[in-house]
Amino acid sequence: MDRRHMLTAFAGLGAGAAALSGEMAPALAQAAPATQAGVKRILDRGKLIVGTRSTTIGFGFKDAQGELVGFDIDLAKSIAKGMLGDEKKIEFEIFPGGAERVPALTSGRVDIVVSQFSVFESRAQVLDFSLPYCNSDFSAIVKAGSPYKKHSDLNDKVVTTRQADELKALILGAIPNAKVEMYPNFSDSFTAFRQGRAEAFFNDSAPARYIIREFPGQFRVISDPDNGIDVNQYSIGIKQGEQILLNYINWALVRMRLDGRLAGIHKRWLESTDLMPGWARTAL
Amino acid sequence: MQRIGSLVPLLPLLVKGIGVTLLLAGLSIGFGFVFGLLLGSLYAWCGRLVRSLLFLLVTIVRGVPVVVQVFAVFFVLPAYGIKFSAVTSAAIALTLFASFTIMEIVRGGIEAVPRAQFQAALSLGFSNIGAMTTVVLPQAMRSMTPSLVNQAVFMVKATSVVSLFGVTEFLYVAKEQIERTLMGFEIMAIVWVAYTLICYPLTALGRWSEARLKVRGQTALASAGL
Amino acid sequence: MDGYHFYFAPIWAALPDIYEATGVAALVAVTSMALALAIGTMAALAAEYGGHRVKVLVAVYVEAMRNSPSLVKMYFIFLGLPSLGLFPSPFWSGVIALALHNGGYVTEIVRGGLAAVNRTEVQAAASLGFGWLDTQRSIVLPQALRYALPSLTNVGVEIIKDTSFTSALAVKELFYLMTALVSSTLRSFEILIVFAGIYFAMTTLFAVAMKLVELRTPWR
Repeated sequence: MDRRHMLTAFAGLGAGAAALSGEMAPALAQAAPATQAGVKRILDRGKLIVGTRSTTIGFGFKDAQGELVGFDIDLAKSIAKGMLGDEKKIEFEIFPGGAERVPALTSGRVDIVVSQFSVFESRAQVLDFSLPYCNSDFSAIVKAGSPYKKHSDLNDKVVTTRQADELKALILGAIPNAKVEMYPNFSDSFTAFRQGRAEAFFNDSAPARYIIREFPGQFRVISDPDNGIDVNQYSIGIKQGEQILLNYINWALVRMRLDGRLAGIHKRWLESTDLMPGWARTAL
Repeated sequence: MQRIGSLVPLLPLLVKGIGVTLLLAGLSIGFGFVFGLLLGSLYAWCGRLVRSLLFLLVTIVRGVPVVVQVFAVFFVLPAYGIKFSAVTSAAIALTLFASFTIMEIVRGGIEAVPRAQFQAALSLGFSNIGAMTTVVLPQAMRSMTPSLVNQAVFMVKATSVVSLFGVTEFLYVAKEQIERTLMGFEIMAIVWVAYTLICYPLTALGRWSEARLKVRGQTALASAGL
Repeated sequence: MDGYHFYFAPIWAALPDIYEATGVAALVAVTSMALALAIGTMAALAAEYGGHRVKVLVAVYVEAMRNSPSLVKMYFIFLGLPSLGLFPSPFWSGVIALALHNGGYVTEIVRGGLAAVNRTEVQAAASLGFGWLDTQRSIVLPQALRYALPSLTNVGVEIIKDTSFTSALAVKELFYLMTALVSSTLRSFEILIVFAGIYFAMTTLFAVAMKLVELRTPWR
């Protein structure tokens, strides 16, 4: 009998402690990271934790051997090499769709995000962004033989992209009557498009270049400069307030432009330097 | 049969995926069994307050989809500063789920053992814990085993859920390959067959153990193997 | 995410979407349940009264369904059939997959229920001139299903929970909305509570409703 009461008491204490620690945990969790400013934390840890995706074709995806490769991967490895001396001192945190990028930075789960990260106002309010490393605009990819020439041709047609409110808004802004079907990530929507479930696949123009090259003759991008959808640039996402890390990343990007590594990555994945951002083109 | 031939290079990748699936299943079944035993014993043993709390937790775990529970571990814990890798988060979520469902099985097994056994053990000088471990639980295992085996099969199937969170288990890897090769039919057929080959022996084992350890009163309905 | 303040406002703002998503989830669940019941009952009857080959076929069907996750069947239908030129919609891919998968369990359950029906009643019906179909319809099945009701309720609950898988096919049901809301509002904790609560309410209401049906119908 005594033992039973003791157990109830312990259980009660345990529950109480759990509740209390639930209250305190945010405070405790806050205390720890604040002491280590960005760059020092990474150097002490000995590796860079990079958030990226494996569903962004051309930028972060798995090749035939199942290895994670792409533009963003090369860029992240280059930064790790500069920071820690070895491009292998890196750990990729792979997000399934894209929505996880912002929370992963704000919670400190990753140091930086290199993943087709466009600078939207809403994101810039909660995160810091580096200098842009690639120009891009949201564009429609269609099958090579299809008759669509302008964006307005896609009115009343089924189009697809990754599930994200901001992307849907972009499409509907330019093509008000499009039927937008969204899948969890770019890979899924690309597959659906290729299977014939949609007439057009919306992705950025940079990965579109990669797709055109990878699947010669199968696809083309709708070029409708009068009715452009969204012009933006990719930047590296950093948690807001880590000024030292932000400065470092920007400096690292400038260095990469100077010694030609940035142009090298552009040429390797996009076959041209057309999409290099403005600051990287003007003579320094 | 050129198309079938192009599937062969994919097999090593798929096998790696199966490895992750089996790892997750093994961890969740193993730890789930240990915790389930603990929780089940706690339930049978403790006072009304603990039992009510446990009952509430089990009802929630069984009434809410596994996806939502995995979501909780993946997205809510990080808000408290707790960061785990994708595979670890998946293992934790699946283990929690397994623990509570196994707890129910254990509870049922313990309650099936006549109370007289426990009291007799006590009168023979066993401590509470001793009576449980030496007398009650071994007998409870008889009726628990078929349900436990079925639960193991369920956990293997449940691991597929974490593919929705980007964990590179079997189904996720298969999907990646479909995205690359567009051979949805062939690859999904392979996945289906593979899962069946893995689970069927366990299911058959469950049915065999049920027949062998038949406890009087257990009807075919109860053992339909949900 | 510091010093957690509960902030439910973005969720109230999304209430119309939540209603719609709950409706879609309910529709998927009910349709799958009806189909699973139909498939399972037919398979059980076939196994019970059919020849040896039919029994083997049903056994193969049941094992193929029980030993793989329902997600696999969903992907098989949705991603696999296009290779054959068929393009099932996300909704029907999910529903058919759930129906087939759970139909396997229903088959076993209904077989158990059929076995529990008293054989003498069937013989009495035959001697009164009832045809096979009539016997099944008015005497055997009602009793069998009544016996099977508790287990069938469990299958129903599983189906309700498994509707969350259809989000992978972009069906706009509850889990799909859940992930979309988290990405746009970042209030993962509040969203978890609300949506887990909705699922819990759905499964509990269903179980309670079935229990009422169980208590109301005469028990042999």
